[in-house]
Amino acid sequence: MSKEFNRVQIGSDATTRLRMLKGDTQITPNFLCRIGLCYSLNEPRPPNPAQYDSDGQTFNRYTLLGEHDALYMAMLKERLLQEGLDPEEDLEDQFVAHLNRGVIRVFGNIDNLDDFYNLIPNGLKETSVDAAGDAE
Amino acid sequence: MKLNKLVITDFGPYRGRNEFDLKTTPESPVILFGGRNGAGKTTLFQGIQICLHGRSALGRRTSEGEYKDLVRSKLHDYPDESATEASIRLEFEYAHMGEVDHYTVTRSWRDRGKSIVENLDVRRNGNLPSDLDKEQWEDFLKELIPPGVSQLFFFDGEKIQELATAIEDDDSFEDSLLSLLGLELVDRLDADLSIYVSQKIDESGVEGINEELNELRETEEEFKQEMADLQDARTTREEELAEVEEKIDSKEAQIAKEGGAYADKREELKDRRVELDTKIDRRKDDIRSIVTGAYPFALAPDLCQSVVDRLQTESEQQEQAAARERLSEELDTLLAQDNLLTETDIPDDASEQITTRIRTAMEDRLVEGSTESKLLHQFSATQRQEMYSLVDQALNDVPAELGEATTEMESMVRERQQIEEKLGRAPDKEVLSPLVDELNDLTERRGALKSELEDLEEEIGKMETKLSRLENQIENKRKEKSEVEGVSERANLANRVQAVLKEYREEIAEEKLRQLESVLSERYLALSNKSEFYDKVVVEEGQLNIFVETIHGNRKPQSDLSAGERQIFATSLLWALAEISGRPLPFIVDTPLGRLDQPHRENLVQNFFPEASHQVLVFSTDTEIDNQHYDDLSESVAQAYHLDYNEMDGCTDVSTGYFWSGNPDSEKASIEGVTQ
Repeated sequence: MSKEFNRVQIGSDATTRLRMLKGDTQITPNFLCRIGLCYSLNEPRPPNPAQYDSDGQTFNRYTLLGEHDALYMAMLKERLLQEGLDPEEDLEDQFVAHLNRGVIRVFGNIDNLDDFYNLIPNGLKETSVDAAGDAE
Repeated sequence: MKLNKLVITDFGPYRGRNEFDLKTTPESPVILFGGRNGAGKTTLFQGIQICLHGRSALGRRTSEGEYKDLVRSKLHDYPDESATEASIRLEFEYAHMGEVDHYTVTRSWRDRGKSIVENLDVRRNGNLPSDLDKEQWEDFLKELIPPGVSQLFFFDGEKIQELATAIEDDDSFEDSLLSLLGLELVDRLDADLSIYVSQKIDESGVEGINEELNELRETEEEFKQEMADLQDARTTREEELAEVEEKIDSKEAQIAKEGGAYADKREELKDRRVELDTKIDRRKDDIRSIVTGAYPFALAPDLCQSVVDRLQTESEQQEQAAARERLSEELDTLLAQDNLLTETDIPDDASEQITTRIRTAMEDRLVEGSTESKLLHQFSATQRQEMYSLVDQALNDVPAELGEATTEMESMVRERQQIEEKLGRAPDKEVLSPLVDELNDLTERRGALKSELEDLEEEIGKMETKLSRLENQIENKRKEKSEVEGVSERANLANRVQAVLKEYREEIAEEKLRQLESVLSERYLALSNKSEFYDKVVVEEGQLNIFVETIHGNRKPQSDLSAGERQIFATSLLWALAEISGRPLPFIVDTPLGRLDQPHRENLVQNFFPEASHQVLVFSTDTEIDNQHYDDLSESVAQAYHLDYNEMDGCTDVSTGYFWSGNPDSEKASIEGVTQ
């Protein structure tokens, strides 16, 4: 199995943004983190773990990722494999880095609940909007 | 304590094994050793002390080297060479808590050329004392018979001489006195407490902690003040908000009354607004539930797809590998059956070719791929199925559902905005226009107040976090402080104990001195030949000045007594001290009569030896306890030994009886001594 870790500590920057995002959307930090993680995973450039401090909020990994833990981890490992990183050794650092970057980016793009839809990549939206349009 | 037997082997002038029976009875408490100078009286006297206390018997200033040198010099000289081993064994009984234990203490030495090796052996009632380690024996003996106290019971003429000339400033006398008074222990406790106190005070750092604590408390005060300010601000805003809302209600009512059709329209719009608010809220909930579900995965569709692809590829490869293996096995089994082809018409050489072809064809159909599994092995089949359906949901359902919900909400929000605008628009009628303007102002004010309140709530929330963190810090500091104070509390306690000890020491010293005074008076008068003239002995506190008071009330310093008188005085002092020590130990007296005149000797022989203790060992020359005295004493003598130095052989012969006592019991006693 992978190198297990339970405790996840994000940076102070991300922590502040999570609090403000929660104010804007009434969505709790755990969910916002999942959104941030995936958002960051979709970015082409890898994050830089050294860029973030670890003075922020602490999460329990399993409350953070919830029932879909497996898929989140699978995606992260897939990405690490694609980047030629070690999916065990680099897992924790990369996970935290993605979390930090993702949360900060998401914060820049979300003012209220309407904006979540805009985060979905366009390719996916067009086909589904078409499909939705067809269905109507 | 009562001595029963002394065995001395190759020590001093004693050649081989020499046994002395020391048993006495209450009627006959005296054991008499007679010997001329150099016969070995002092060796015997010292031997008993050395046996019990080893090096400490020689006084605390004796070094280990000096002690070993002394022991070496005491190894008995045989005509050709010195003995290489020597030992002293003492058997005694000791009453403790009403029970009498029999002890045997053996101290033996071996000459190892450069060094002397000492060995101590202690038996209680014939057994090794189970409650003591070998290392503790020495200390145990010191507890049993404290060296300080034993000085009072072991004394020789020389010591009495010393004591007689310088009671005031004699160290050993003072030591003995202190230990007698039970003050040695008190002094040691006092010293230990001092060390304890100074250590404890070093450990604590109460002042530093107090400073830190004060700083923390100041910060806490500031925070609390800020918090109070914030809460005040909130209350003000809340009151104003309530006021504004009340005004809005009354304005609305006024407009409704005055406005007619315009008012009806307003009501309609307001109803629609409420309806929209509900719907918007519902849509918001929808969006939230999507966003907190599979939504995140929709943000990284390519990666999701890669995961699915990889898992599927790996899983197919695994299946293929399994199938290949299984087929190959089946084929092996099948072809191993001889009759499969032999029963046909195919010739033997062809059949082998056929089987090879079948195998190759089969294996070609199932191409072996890479069996390296990177992700698959980490997830169970169920987990994989869940992932597939999750990805499917995220990539297909989520965008559509979220898109729909968002679009609907946006259009509703837009409609709501239009309604707000319409509601804010002033009517045509002049009466209403100012009312509506006022209403709009009030509504604006309400909005501002609400957002201010939200900001305040957030500030208050933050302040609460800061305060609770600070309270934790303060709590921790306080714990630290109370621990430190606990330390200084104990230090205080130790200080108080020291104060009490000081008082105790003074009181007990006073009490013991009064006791000494009275016992000493009695003993001195019993031995002195001026008992008619002297009334009592006075001991002054502090400097321990000792006076003899005459019947006329005149005081005479002890140092003004004549040499002989002082010797008698010293003897009675030792006797008195021994008595008030409360320790029933045997008296062992070496050459006690040296300087005394005849009357004093008589006093000593008649009053002191038989009375001094339950057991008295006297080492004497023939001129001290002479024929006359021996007769006086003989009733009290349980056993007498004659120590005679044999110059021819260079050793001391021991026989029972005194110098000239042609004691007919001599032979018999000797045999008894040995058999016992």
